[in-house]
Amino acid sequence: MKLIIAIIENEFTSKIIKSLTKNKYRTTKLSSTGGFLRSGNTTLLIGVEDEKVDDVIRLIEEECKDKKVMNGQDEITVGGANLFILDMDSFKRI
Amino acid sequence: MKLIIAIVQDQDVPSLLDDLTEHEYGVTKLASTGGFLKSGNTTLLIGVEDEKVEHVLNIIEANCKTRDITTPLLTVTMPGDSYIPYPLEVKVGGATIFILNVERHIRL
Repeated sequence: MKLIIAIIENEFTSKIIKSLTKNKYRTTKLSSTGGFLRSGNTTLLIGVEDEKVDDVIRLIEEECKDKKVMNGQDEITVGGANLFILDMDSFKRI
Repeated sequence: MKLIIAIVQDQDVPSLLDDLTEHEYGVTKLASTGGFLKSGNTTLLIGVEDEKVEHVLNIIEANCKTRDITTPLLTVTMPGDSYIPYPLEVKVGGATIFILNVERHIRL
Protein backbone atom coordinates (compact mmCIF):
# COMPACT_ATOMS: atom_id res chain seq x y z
CA MET A 1 0.00 0.00 0.00
CA LYS A 2 1.47 3.40 -0.92
CA LEU A 3 0.46 6.95 -0.07
CA ILE A 4 1.08 9.40 -2.87
CA ILE A 5 1.37 12.99 -1.72
CA ALA A 6 0.99 15.13 -4.83
CA ILE A 7 1.60 18.87 -4.60
CA ILE A 8 0.13 20.46 -7.69
CA GLU A 9 -0.65 23.89 -9.10
CA ASN A 10 -4.23 24.97 -8.54
CA GLU A 11 -5.11 25.20 -12.21
CA PHE A 12 -4.41 21.48 -12.78
CA THR A 13 -6.34 20.34 -9.71
CA SER A 14 -9.85 19.97 -11.09
CA LYS A 15 -8.69 18.10 -14.19
CA ILE A 16 -6.56 15.74 -12.11
CA ILE A 17 -9.28 15.01 -9.58
CA LYS A 18 -11.76 14.37 -12.40
CA SER A 19 -9.46 11.90 -14.12
CA LEU A 20 -8.55 10.20 -10.81
CA THR A 21 -12.15 9.71 -9.75
CA LYS A 22 -13.08 8.56 -13.25
CA ASN A 23 -10.51 5.78 -12.78
CA LYS A 24 -11.91 4.99 -9.30
CA TYR A 25 -8.98 6.39 -7.32
CA ARG A 26 -10.07 8.09 -4.14
CA THR A 27 -8.19 11.25 -3.18
CA THR A 28 -8.20 13.80 -0.36
CA LYS A 29 -7.61 17.40 -1.35
CA LEU A 30 -5.87 19.85 0.98
CA SER A 31 -5.40 23.49 0.05
CA SER A 32 -1.82 24.52 0.65
CA THR A 33 0.67 27.28 -0.01
CA GLY A 34 4.01 27.00 -1.73
CA GLY A 35 7.01 28.10 0.25
CA PHE A 36 8.96 29.75 -2.52
CA LEU A 37 6.42 31.82 -4.42
CA ARG A 38 3.94 31.88 -1.54
CA SER A 39 1.34 31.09 -4.20
CA GLY A 40 -1.56 28.83 -3.45
CA ASN A 41 -1.35 25.22 -4.56
CA THR A 42 -3.09 21.97 -3.74
CA THR A 43 -1.90 18.87 -1.92
CA LEU A 44 -3.58 15.57 -2.81
CA LEU A 45 -3.37 12.46 -0.64
CA ILE A 46 -3.93 9.34 -2.74
CA GLY A 47 -3.76 5.89 -1.18
CA VAL A 48 -3.23 3.14 -3.74
CA GLU A 49 -2.10 -0.47 -3.93
CA ASP A 50 1.53 -0.86 -4.94
CA GLU A 51 0.82 -2.04 -8.49
CA LYS A 52 -1.47 0.93 -9.19
CA VAL A 53 1.14 3.60 -8.35
CA ASP A 54 2.49 3.94 -11.89
CA ASP A 55 -1.03 4.20 -13.28
CA VAL A 56 -1.80 7.12 -10.96
CA ILE A 57 1.48 8.82 -11.85
CA ARG A 58 0.63 8.48 -15.55
CA LEU A 59 -2.82 10.03 -14.95
CA ILE A 60 -1.34 12.98 -13.12
CA GLU A 61 1.39 13.43 -15.71
CA GLU A 62 -1.18 13.66 -18.49
CA GLU A 63 -2.81 16.66 -16.84
CA CYS A 64 0.29 18.47 -15.63
CA LYS A 65 2.67 20.47 -17.78
CA ASP A 66 5.46 22.78 -16.63
CA LYS A 67 4.31 26.36 -16.38
CA LYS A 68 6.31 29.57 -16.88
CA VAL A 69 5.68 32.06 -14.08
CA MET A 70 7.00 35.59 -13.74
CA ASN A 71 8.57 36.18 -10.35
CA GLY A 72 9.54 39.85 -10.34
CA GLN A 73 11.51 40.30 -13.53
CA ASP A 74 12.92 36.79 -13.97
CA GLU A 75 10.85 34.01 -15.46
CA ILE A 76 10.95 30.65 -13.74
CA THR A 77 9.33 27.36 -14.59
CA VAL A 78 7.01 26.02 -11.95
CA GLY A 79 6.90 22.24 -11.85
CA GLY A 80 3.42 20.99 -12.74
CA ALA A 81 3.47 18.50 -9.92
CA ASN A 82 5.69 17.28 -7.12
CA LEU A 83 5.03 13.70 -5.99
CA PHE A 84 6.22 11.98 -2.82
CA ILE A 85 5.53 8.26 -2.65
CA LEU A 86 5.54 6.80 0.83
CA ASP A 87 5.26 3.19 1.89
CA MET A 88 2.29 2.55 4.17
CA ASP A 89 2.39 0.12 7.09
CA SER A 90 -1.33 -0.55 7.06
CA PHE A 91 -4.50 1.01 5.74
CA LYS A 92 -7.87 0.75 7.45
CA ARG A 93 -11.24 1.88 6.28
CA ILE A 94 -13.63 1.93 9.18
CA MET B 1 14.89 11.05 0.47
CA LYS B 2 12.91 12.06 3.55
CA LEU B 3 9.64 13.92 4.00
CA ILE B 4 9.69 16.11 7.08
CA ILE B 5 6.26 16.92 8.46
CA ALA B 6 6.66 19.82 10.90
CA ILE B 7 3.75 21.12 12.93
CA VAL B 8 4.63 24.61 14.12
CA GLN B 9 2.91 27.62 15.67
CA ASP B 10 1.54 30.24 13.30
CA GLN B 11 3.67 33.04 14.75
CA ASP B 12 6.90 31.22 13.84
CA VAL B 13 5.92 30.45 10.24
CA PRO B 14 6.96 33.65 8.41
CA SER B 15 10.52 33.63 9.72
CA LEU B 16 10.80 29.86 9.27
CA LEU B 17 9.55 30.02 5.68
CA ASP B 18 12.02 32.78 4.83
CA ASP B 19 14.88 30.83 6.37
CA LEU B 20 13.96 27.62 4.55
CA THR B 21 13.48 29.24 1.15
CA GLU B 22 16.74 31.13 1.61
CA HIS B 23 18.46 27.75 1.79
CA GLU B 24 16.43 26.66 -1.25
CA TYR B 25 14.35 24.02 0.53
CA GLY B 26 10.97 23.38 -1.04
CA VAL B 27 8.18 23.78 1.50
CA THR B 28 4.45 23.23 1.32
CA LYS B 29 2.37 24.90 4.02
CA LEU B 30 -0.95 23.49 5.19
CA ALA B 31 -3.27 25.29 7.60
CA SER B 32 -4.11 22.99 10.50
CA THR B 33 -5.60 23.05 14.00
CA GLY B 34 -4.04 21.72 17.18
CA GLY B 35 -5.81 19.05 19.17
CA PHE B 36 -5.02 20.18 22.71
CA LEU B 37 -5.45 23.95 22.78
CA LYS B 38 -7.72 23.91 19.72
CA SER B 39 -5.60 26.80 18.47
CA GLY B 40 -4.62 27.14 14.85
CA ASN B 41 -1.19 26.01 13.81
CA THR B 42 0.61 25.21 10.59
CA THR B 43 1.80 21.95 9.09
CA LEU B 44 4.81 22.13 6.79
CA LEU B 45 5.80 19.42 4.31
CA ILE B 46 9.49 19.56 3.47
CA GLY B 47 11.01 17.03 1.09
CA VAL B 48 14.80 16.80 1.49
CA GLU B 49 17.73 14.54 0.68
CA ASP B 50 18.73 12.33 3.63
CA GLU B 51 21.95 14.21 4.40
CA LYS B 52 20.12 17.56 4.54
CA VAL B 53 17.65 16.45 7.22
CA GLU B 54 19.87 17.58 10.11
CA HIS B 55 20.34 20.99 8.53
CA VAL B 56 16.59 21.49 8.12
CA LEU B 57 15.99 20.44 11.72
CA ASN B 58 18.50 23.06 12.89
CA ILE B 59 16.72 25.73 10.85
CA ILE B 60 13.36 24.72 12.33
CA GLU B 61 14.81 24.72 15.84
CA ALA B 62 16.32 28.16 15.34
CA ASN B 63 12.95 29.61 14.35
CA CYS B 64 10.49 27.78 16.61
CA LYS B 65 11.25 28.55 20.24
CA THR B 66 9.25 26.84 23.01
CA ARG B 67 7.82 29.57 25.23
CA ASP B 68 5.21 30.05 27.96
CA ILE B 69 1.86 31.74 27.44
CA THR B 70 -0.87 32.30 29.97
CA THR B 71 -4.23 31.11 28.71
CA PRO B 72 -7.53 31.31 30.61
CA LEU B 73 -8.64 27.73 31.26
CA LEU B 74 -12.29 27.52 30.15
CA THR B 75 -13.82 25.71 33.12
CA VAL B 76 -17.39 24.38 32.93
CA THR B 77 -19.44 26.82 35.06
CA MET B 78 -22.55 25.72 36.87
CA PRO B 79 -25.58 28.06 36.58
CA GLY B 80 -25.43 30.78 39.21
CA ASP B 81 -21.69 30.23 39.61
CA SER B 82 -19.58 33.29 38.84
CA TYR B 83 -16.95 32.68 36.21
CA ILE B 84 -13.43 33.73 37.21
CA PRO B 85 -10.91 33.18 34.41
CA TYR B 86 -8.19 31.02 35.93
CA PRO B 87 -4.91 31.88 34.18
CA LEU B 88 -2.80 28.86 33.41
CA GLU B 89 0.86 28.77 32.42
CA VAL B 90 1.03 26.65 29.27
CA LYS B 91 4.17 25.88 27.23
CA VAL B 92 3.57 26.48 23.52
CA GLY B 93 5.74 27.04 20.49
CA GLY B 94 8.34 24.51 19.56
CA ALA B 95 7.65 22.12 16.72
CA THR B 96 6.42 18.58 16.39
CA ILE B 97 8.37 16.86 13.65
CA PHE B 98 7.70 13.56 11.87
CA ILE B 99 10.35 12.28 9.48
CA LEU B 100 9.09 9.79 6.92
CA ASN B 101 10.95 7.74 4.39
CA VAL B 102 10.14 8.67 0.82
CA GLU B 103 10.42 5.77 -1.59
CA ARG B 104 10.24 7.80 -4.75
CA HIS B 105 10.17 11.52 -5.46
CA ILE B 106 8.95 12.52 -8.94
CA ARG B 107 8.83 16.01 -10.37
CA LEU B 108 6.54 16.32 -13.42
